[in-house]
Amino acid sequence: MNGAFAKRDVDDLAIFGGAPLFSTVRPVGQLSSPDEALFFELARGIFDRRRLTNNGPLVRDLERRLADMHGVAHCIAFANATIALITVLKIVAGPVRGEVILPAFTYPGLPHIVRWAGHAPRFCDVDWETHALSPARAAEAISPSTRAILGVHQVNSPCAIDAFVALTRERAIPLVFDAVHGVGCTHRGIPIGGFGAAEVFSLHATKLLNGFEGGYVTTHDDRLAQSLARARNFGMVDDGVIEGLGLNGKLNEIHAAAALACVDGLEGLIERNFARYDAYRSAFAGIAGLRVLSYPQNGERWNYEFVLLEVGPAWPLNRDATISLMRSENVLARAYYSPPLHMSENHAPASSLPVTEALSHRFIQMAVGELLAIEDVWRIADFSRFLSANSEAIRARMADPPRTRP
Amino acid sequence: MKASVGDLALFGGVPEFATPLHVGQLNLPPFEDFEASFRDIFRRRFFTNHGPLVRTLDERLARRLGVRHAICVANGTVALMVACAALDLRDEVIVPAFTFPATVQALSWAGLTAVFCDVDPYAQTITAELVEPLITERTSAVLGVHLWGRACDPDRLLDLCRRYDLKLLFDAAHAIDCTFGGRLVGGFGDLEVFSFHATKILGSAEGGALTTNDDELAARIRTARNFHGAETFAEVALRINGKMSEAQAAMGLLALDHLDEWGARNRELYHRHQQRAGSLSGVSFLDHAGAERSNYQYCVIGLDAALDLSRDELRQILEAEGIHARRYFFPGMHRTPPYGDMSADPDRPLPVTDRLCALTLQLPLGSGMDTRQVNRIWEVIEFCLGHGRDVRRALDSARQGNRPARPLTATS
Repeated sequence: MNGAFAKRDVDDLAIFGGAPLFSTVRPVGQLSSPDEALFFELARGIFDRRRLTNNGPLVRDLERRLADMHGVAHCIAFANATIALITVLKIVAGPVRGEVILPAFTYPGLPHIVRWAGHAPRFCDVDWETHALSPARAAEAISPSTRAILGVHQVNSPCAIDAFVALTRERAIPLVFDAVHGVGCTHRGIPIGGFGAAEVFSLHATKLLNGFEGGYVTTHDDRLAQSLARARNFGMVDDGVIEGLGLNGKLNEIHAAAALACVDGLEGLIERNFARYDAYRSAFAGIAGLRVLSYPQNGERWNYEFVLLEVGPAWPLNRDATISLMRSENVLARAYYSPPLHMSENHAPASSLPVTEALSHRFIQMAVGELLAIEDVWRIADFSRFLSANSEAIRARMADPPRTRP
Repeated sequence: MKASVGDLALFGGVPEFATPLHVGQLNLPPFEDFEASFRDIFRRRFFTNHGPLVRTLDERLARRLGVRHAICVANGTVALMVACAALDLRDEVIVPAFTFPATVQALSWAGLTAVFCDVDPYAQTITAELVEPLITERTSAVLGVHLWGRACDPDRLLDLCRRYDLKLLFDAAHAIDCTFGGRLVGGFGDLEVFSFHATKILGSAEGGALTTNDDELAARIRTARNFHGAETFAEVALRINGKMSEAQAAMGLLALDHLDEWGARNRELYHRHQQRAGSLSGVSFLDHAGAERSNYQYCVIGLDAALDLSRDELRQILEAEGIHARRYFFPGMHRTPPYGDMSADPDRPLPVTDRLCALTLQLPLGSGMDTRQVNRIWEVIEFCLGHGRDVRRALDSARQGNRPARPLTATS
């Protein structure tokens, strides 16, 4: 089912002035649409009640649905996952300034989140197999100033949960998971959400459940749930009296309505994600030097939220040049967690993290989500074959200064 | 009309308002406009991350407020946190304790120490005179609050801050569309912070914005509010996801279309409150708008300490009548954990703040209300104050677990 592939010549590449492969972008986010009929029905209720925020009925409904989905006692919704994670860390890591151990091969926001929570990020290396925080490296990094460990589940590859639970129990350190990529996934058959002190999820539009912006925390801990619910509303208890430090972490009712209008579509979205992932595997089969990354599944459920291309030595172009070529064709691929966090911005200095550094050169995060048709995947694969076949000319042209086509 | 103490809902009478009245504005555009706007969003599939509606709202706000930059964010508290990061504040910030918790809590999240300043008894805001003695070598900024919409001594605070080389920022959560000396709030100090919470006159469900005339600071604010490489315009050490969504921006834009209309309604209600309060002894109406342009979104009254009923008792009675008056702000932030507790700190007394916290009450003013309802609110208040001793006795009796002194009578 190959789509029309119109590039005959290196000059036809968009980077050199040709028409792009796609006239509109193919992004890396999910961008699933909420069920519109349900959204407007819920919105009508918001207008009738004139209740737009402050822990309204839709937020409470959403929290119940998500708590059920994750099989946890409590779900506490937040304005976004960043604010959720700041609040969780502030509570579990305590008021005495110290360090939070986290991976460097992850989302650029995390070290900022740790600092808003009043602590310093302590970057650790990841595991070769899971690409998530290495329990062995984290154990070595524990010191008297360690206040928490923040593990991050990778797409289709959760942290070594059991090892972290054992480690943090033994050393009496709070364990929190950034589970933004764990929606719909399992560990030993149990849904991600109930591990550690708390797990934090996102309702951002690029994620599986689209609440425009939003986030939530799942936990089995009654006291933590109560503290979180207060902290997200300025630390208020009844009658406006303040119990302790808080902020505005409230999810509004319109965002909650959108997220609720996505919950029933989650299974279908994961199925379509699998179909796109599967198409990538078939379409890229046999392209020397490019491989669709696949972790050992061991019977667990995955969400197939990302597709990662591993760039091997047989691929004739460098990774970042390949990304530039794709992006100019409106395939919004990007370098996966590169540069790693310990080598970017002005974060706390870290010693060399060899696994992280090696992985940071290796992957392309490919276009996925609801704006990507199966046919598009085949066209991107054909395009990649074209790049490979014309690599010498491309390399020569890319080294040249850009010129205008006559 | 209440004819006797037993007619008060707290003692078994029929509530004055079957549908309660609230202090917040809770303004909404017509549902059809909402629907059209959201169908467009779903068609574009541009839900967040600096979308076209957020950019339009930024531009329209800047034009409306007459400032070079308006930068929308997730909510007013996040706006304050972003402000601290963008200004790179250190150590101590001087701030009133007579304010909403967010003003002070944002400083704590940014790792700063709040130094509480008492407020002027008439303006209810901090002033240059009150701030100056609190300045030390550790002070990095002054955070004033345009309480109820009245500007917080902006010219003299600016002069003071320039002399001491301090940053000056304002919490303008209450003050959209308000002026000082005819100049609109938005361009005072280094930056100002607005709230578009649903209870504000301009609501986007949740939301907020920062405004400034400083291009370099605007670049730092735009950087601090997100983690995206493509939206990095300066080197800022501390960043956050503070993005406003397209849904919030759509609400904000629709609200902006109605701002003048809602302001005019508020003004009528405000003046009726003012008129009714003026004829009653023991109650003072705070005319925070004065001769300036205002959004008139708050009706604030002060109660005489010598009345038979305390502020909290009157509030309890009103609550039962369906009049949801609020006691913003109680207690003052200096008596709130982690900053302090209910026992006074003899080294840092804030006598005016304490008095205002004990005697101030906000009455409903906003969406769906008319002047007849304002009259009815004041009839209940007049009755309570006019029969203060009887009400006091009934309260004491109820507190001791006794039944109401007389059987219930139906009132209209």
